[in-house]
Amino acid sequence: MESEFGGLYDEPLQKRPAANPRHGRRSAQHEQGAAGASVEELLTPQEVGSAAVGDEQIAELEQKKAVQQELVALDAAFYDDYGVKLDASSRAGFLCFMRYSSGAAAPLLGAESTGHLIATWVAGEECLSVRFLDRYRLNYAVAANTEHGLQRRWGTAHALTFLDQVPEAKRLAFN
Amino acid sequence: MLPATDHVARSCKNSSLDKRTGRPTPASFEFRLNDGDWHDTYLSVNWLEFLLPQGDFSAKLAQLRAFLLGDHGLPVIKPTVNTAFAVIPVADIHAAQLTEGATTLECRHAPQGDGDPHSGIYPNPGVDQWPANRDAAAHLAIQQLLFQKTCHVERGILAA
Repeated sequence: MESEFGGLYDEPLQKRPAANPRHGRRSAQHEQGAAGASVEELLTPQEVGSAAVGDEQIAELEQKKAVQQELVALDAAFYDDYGVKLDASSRAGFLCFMRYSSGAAAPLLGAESTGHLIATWVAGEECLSVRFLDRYRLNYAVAANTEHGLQRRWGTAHALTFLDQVPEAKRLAFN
Repeated sequence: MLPATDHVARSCKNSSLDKRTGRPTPASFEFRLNDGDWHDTYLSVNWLEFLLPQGDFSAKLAQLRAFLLGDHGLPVIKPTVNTAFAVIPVADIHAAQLTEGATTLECRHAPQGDGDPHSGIYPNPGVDQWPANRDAAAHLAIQQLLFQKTCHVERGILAA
């Protein structure tokens, strides 16, 4: 048995349906993402239905669309790798975080085998990573410069209070 | 332990890669859990200089591709156009210090047969001492560190 990870090359972590072996043309539904996501998922109804009035708003809308499109692509990639959808509650947590953290930069986004999303913001040697466990809980890891050099800290937090609890996280996400 | 002057390459799954940039993310360095127990006691990597002691990263990864796609009967993950190799200096892995819990990392050769560059990044203390829950943030810090130490990235199979 092939195994990407360490261990004994034995059975994979979980029995899951085989990934779709067809690599030809995808259906429109597949392109839309295995979870059936649409590119408007991150946008509020007002944002979808109304024209932006300023450059700042336009830039913010464009960024939200880019993040949403990335999530749709990640949905499809995860389905190809594991034959199942991304973890729905982790996905909801990420979308909620991005929607209500207006001004946050677009993060690097990847998925673990569990379907949990990890968003990462990088600024030089400083870095913030957030694993969305569900809609409300998250793990974070921060590497931030201090007077003692690059310091690492990590923990578990509630999505609503996270940015207030961890000031370095706020600085990096909004960099 | 692998020499500090050498490098290892991690095969990163498509869904762990950022879709805008194609870059690996901390998700590319996941230690997996299986029903409350750690499935991975170490992270699987390949030792580049074992196959090609001299040359640049592209030449070393070309040699690794040739090995992984070869007909040797060893249990390897075949690279594809959708996967990526993340190259990390061994010295940076050995220098890693995560203060809380004092976890350190060590690269060791773990061949499955003759000529196999397969190696592992082993945490110390080992995963048997790690808390067996999915939300242990310390593991995310290790994944983040390996992500940050990545010095070169290439697709599993280069476009023609």
